[in-house]
Amino acid sequence: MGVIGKRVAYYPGCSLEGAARAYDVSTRIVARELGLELDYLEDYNCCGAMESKNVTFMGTLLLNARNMSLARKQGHDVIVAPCNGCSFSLQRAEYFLQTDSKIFERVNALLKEGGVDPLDKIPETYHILEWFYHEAGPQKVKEKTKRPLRGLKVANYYGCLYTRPHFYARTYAHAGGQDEEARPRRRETADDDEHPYYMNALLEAAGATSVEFEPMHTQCCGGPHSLSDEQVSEKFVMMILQTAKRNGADIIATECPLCHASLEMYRHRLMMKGVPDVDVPAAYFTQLLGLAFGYSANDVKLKDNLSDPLPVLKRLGLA
Amino acid sequence: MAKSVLVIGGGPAGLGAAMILGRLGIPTILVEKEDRLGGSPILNHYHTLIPRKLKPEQVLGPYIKEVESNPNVQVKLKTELSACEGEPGSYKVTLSNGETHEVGAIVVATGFEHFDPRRKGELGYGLYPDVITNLELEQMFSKEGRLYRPSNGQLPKRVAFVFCVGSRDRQLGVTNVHCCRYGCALSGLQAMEIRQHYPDVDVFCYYMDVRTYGTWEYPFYWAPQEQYGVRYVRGRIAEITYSPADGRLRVKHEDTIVQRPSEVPMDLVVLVLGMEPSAGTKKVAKILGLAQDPDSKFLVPSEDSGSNIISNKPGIFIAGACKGPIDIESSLSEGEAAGAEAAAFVGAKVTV
Amino acid sequence: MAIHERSLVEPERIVRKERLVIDGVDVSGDWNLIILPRVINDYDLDFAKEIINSPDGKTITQCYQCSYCTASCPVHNYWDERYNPRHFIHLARLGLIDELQKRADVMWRCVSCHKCTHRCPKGVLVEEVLKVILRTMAKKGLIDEYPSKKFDKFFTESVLEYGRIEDGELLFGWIEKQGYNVVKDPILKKPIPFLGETPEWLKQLVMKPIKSMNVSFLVLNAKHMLFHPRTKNWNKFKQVLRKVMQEEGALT
Repeated sequence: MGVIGKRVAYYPGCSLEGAARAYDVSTRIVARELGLELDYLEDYNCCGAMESKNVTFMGTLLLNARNMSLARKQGHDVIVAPCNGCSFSLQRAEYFLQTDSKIFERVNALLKEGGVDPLDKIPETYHILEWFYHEAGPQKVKEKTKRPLRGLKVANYYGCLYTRPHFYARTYAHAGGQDEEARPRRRETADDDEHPYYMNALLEAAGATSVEFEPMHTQCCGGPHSLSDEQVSEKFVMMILQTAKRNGADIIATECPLCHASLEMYRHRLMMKGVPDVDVPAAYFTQLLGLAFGYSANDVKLKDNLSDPLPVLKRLGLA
Repeated sequence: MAKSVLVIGGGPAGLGAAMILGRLGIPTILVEKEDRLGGSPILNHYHTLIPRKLKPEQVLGPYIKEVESNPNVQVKLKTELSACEGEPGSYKVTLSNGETHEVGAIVVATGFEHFDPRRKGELGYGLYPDVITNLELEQMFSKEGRLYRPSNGQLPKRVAFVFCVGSRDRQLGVTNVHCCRYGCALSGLQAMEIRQHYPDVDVFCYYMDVRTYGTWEYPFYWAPQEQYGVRYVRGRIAEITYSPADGRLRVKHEDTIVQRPSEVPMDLVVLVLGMEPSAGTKKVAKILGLAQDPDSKFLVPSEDSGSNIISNKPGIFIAGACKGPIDIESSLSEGEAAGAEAAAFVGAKVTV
Repeated sequence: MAIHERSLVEPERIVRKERLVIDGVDVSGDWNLIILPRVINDYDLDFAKEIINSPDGKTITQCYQCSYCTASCPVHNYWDERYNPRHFIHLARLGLIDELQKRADVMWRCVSCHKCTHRCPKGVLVEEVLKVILRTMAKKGLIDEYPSKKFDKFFTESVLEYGRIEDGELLFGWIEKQGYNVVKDPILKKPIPFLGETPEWLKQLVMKPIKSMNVSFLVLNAKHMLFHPRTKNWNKFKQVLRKVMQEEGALT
């Protein structure tokens, strides 16, 4: 425990300021309860998500380097992001900056040109779930739990980019050669590649029961194509929801605003089409932790969720 | 029991055996049918040896020097074994120069020869000057130090390596179904040498499988692709033709990954030759009554022994490429092992 | 004339002529069907070079065609088996453009789940490489407009303009791009949700739970749609981004 730091730069990302407000609010509540401090990254910009990197390589790197530079300016070595897309983008940038000195120099020159401080050091990025697990952990969650999530059967959905790809997220295994320097360097804090369990552990500590959810726990929801390729997304979400339902889940716990939105949006479309076994609602894991810590449904903005998990939670006397 | 040992063949395995025997103080006769020692790497002017990328002189030079200068070793060039009588411990051997000797043990290191690609007529070797063998490419490097198309002396824009010519081929009968072992790795090395000196030359390897076994995987398969941009295409070349319109060759094959027939222009085509037992190996096997693989005619070790240098005849040891395709450094060490076995067999008392 | 297996004769290789004259002899009739050969006549290595030379595409040289990526790929497994990352890499490396073009309708369907990159035993950044192949094809005019490219561009332009994105605008802007007649307000020229044409599913999605929803949430999102959240001090940085994208040929 305690390898990342109790006080970190908090990069919420665009979604958390709007449609995923509930995730932002509940994250802050959980952090406060667990004795951790989030330092809001002032005046950040979008990370470019999965989209801009397909249009421009250097531009996307610059977007992320700007955010890194802001974190350095606020005195941080560590950035924490609650969104899979954001943490991926920052880690991807970190990978290219770390492994290619020419790219690093070019980026720094361009940052300067754009009126931003060049990077004196490349900050590391962690997903907020990793941070909660390592800096607080299940024990602390247990201590803080006032209203255990007893009887709540949860399908823990991690999505793609929380565990993948380890090339960016955990190691700098590098292109070409048997160079000793370029050997994979696994980050100690990383969750298990194929069988992640941090979210299971935290929610179980808060009293919930995890249902069997492999391999759908890291199956893609259609993510960046939720809007542009509706057919594929619909099929993927159907597989995820049906597996959750058939394995007895009351609720799907999410840790990414994009996955969350995709699940909720397509859940609704599937229900309209009369597809069976897709009516499991979704909630951010921080919302569930917030409830366990004694906060009200209103405090963690449960009404923001389009899939409306309130009836389920009320039935179990948890909200 | 006679105390001397006969070594047949002056290539890497024979040199390894003679060197060890000489060092152990055993009177040794080394016969070589050619006029100098060194075997195929020296006689055929190899350029760079796999896997350590050393020159043949660097690897074999010290062995030749030691064997020639050790008083225990008599080197007989332009000499072959013509007959053998007697029994283990005292073989009476007759050499082609008329000499007879009584020896306690024999090391057979009679080696291999390169496949003759004229037997695969569809590949156009001998017909089109720009179809060459990998041996000729080695000699192009070692003798002339440059890459060119034999038809016009100019630098080729594209070079193709055709794997498994005379290997893994039942069309030639049961004799050539084995893998040549060195071809994939040597092609990787030659392709890298080309790309290193001529970065504008595109190199293609046409393969069925790439068998760079053991520790050769990275240096001879991955490095050519990752560091030198050599391209691998999966498909066996079935036919090589010449197009008078542009003066280039066409390699005809199916790209099995795309599943389409292909006829792609090439300027220089290199045939990667297989290995066959040498005429000497077949002859010696007959004279000494050694067991041979019924298909390939390579020598095979005794069924009673786990060691692969023990032959079916007591006191006769087999080493190197007479047993099948092998790389040069393994050949050397097999020769050394066979030399030590022979020394033990004749009852040498070694004091250190 | 060779006898062809019908399945190997793709429609695009069949040329039908009204009247066919060979050496002055009219051979129209049953003879006027020409089947173009399937043979690969050459490679387009310049195409491959462009990918190898890009920082996110250079790992393409490391692939040894083991197909770990394809076996892991959800699009291949659950959507369309013609989506085959391993195959695309082989085709791109040799520059077999016509084969890539045949697969243009599925090539853009990658959902960026990164299973391929994650598991590749050779360290190929498969997902990145596939995007570079697509990008290169688009740049060279070898592929028509495809949905994800439209969306990527739309998204990137929004980031470039404001520094941040806004979910509502993204959603309704995208709906407009898809051909729905969206009503915009006269002053800010922003799409007004639900006044114009809206896909039925979206109406349902929002209308049903709206009754149970927080008013403050709706107000927040409406505010964001009208007054797009912006990054301050963005203009100077925007110029640099524009310049970089210009250099990459990404603005066209």
